[in-house]
Amino acid sequence: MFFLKELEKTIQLHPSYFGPLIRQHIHRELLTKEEGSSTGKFTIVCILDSFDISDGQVIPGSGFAEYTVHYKAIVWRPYKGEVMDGVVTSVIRAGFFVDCGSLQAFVGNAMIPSEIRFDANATPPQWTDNGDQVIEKGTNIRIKIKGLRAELDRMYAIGTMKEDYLGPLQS
Amino acid sequence: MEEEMKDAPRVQQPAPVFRAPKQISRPKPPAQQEEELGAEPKLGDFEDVHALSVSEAHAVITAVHAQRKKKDAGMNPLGGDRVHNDSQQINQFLEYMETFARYKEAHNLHALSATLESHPELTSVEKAMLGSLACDSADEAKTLIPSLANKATDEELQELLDEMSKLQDRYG
Repeated sequence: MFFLKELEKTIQLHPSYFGPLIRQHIHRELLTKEEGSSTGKFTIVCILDSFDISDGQVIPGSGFAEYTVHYKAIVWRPYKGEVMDGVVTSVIRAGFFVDCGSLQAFVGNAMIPSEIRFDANATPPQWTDNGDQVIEKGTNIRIKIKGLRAELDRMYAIGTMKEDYLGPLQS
Repeated sequence: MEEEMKDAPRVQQPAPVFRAPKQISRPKPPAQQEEELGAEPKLGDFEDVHALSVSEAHAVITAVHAQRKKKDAGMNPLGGDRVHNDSQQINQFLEYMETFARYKEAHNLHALSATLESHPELTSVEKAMLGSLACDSADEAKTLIPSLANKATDEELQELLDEMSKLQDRYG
């Protein structure tokens, strides 16, 4: 789910940037370093253009100046138990992978209703109940997050579709 | 002189008492509570943070990017007419929102938030989930968002969902 969160970041600026355009340099630093970064809990998707910069303080011994920037950003944070939509990216015998933004979720065959079976002979390979439910690469699907794992700059999840109202979206 | 010192009664030194240092172990980390969206959402440090549906996030981000594009190239902190730093994550999210934002028209989105505003019993998270998932029936909404179960009767919820589906631009 997306949130509008207030965040804070300390930015160190090299002395060569001191000058009339200092605010712009800080803004650039903020956008390139923070947008798209993931803290392990949430991903910063977009930083709103209004932000507050504290007074700078020169760090003794290095000449760098340190600024604290307050800003608001749209962050995306997945929760355990959250129901979300995603796009199927690959289908294998053991299950399928779903991309929800930058979160990659895996739905294993234990998490797929038993009437939906893997069909390796179809091109592309698909999970299907031989009815209107077909899961192949590119299908929009609704899953529920069962577990989350954060790695250095990425999050991974285990999803399920073995509950009511989950599965491929009619489009 | 020395003799006098010898005769002087010795000051009894109190036996040294062992005192443990103030802190013998590292402070324990605060008990980690499981953060999840269930019947009782536990959001951790996002408890009072305003939640956005996919459509709302899509609208805000489109507006921010349009604003950046409008600035002249010299004033753009990223240089040129770039609107974001081209990281893989941002592109993935833009694509995701393009696919799953169900209310892309600004006036529909305003009408939607007005409709949801008229239900003060819903929390910000529940409103965002309702807006993102676009459920058809009250039962579906209560299954997918368990915290709704005691908030509204099926009839009230159904009325709200019907209202919302009228505003939706058909996607697909």
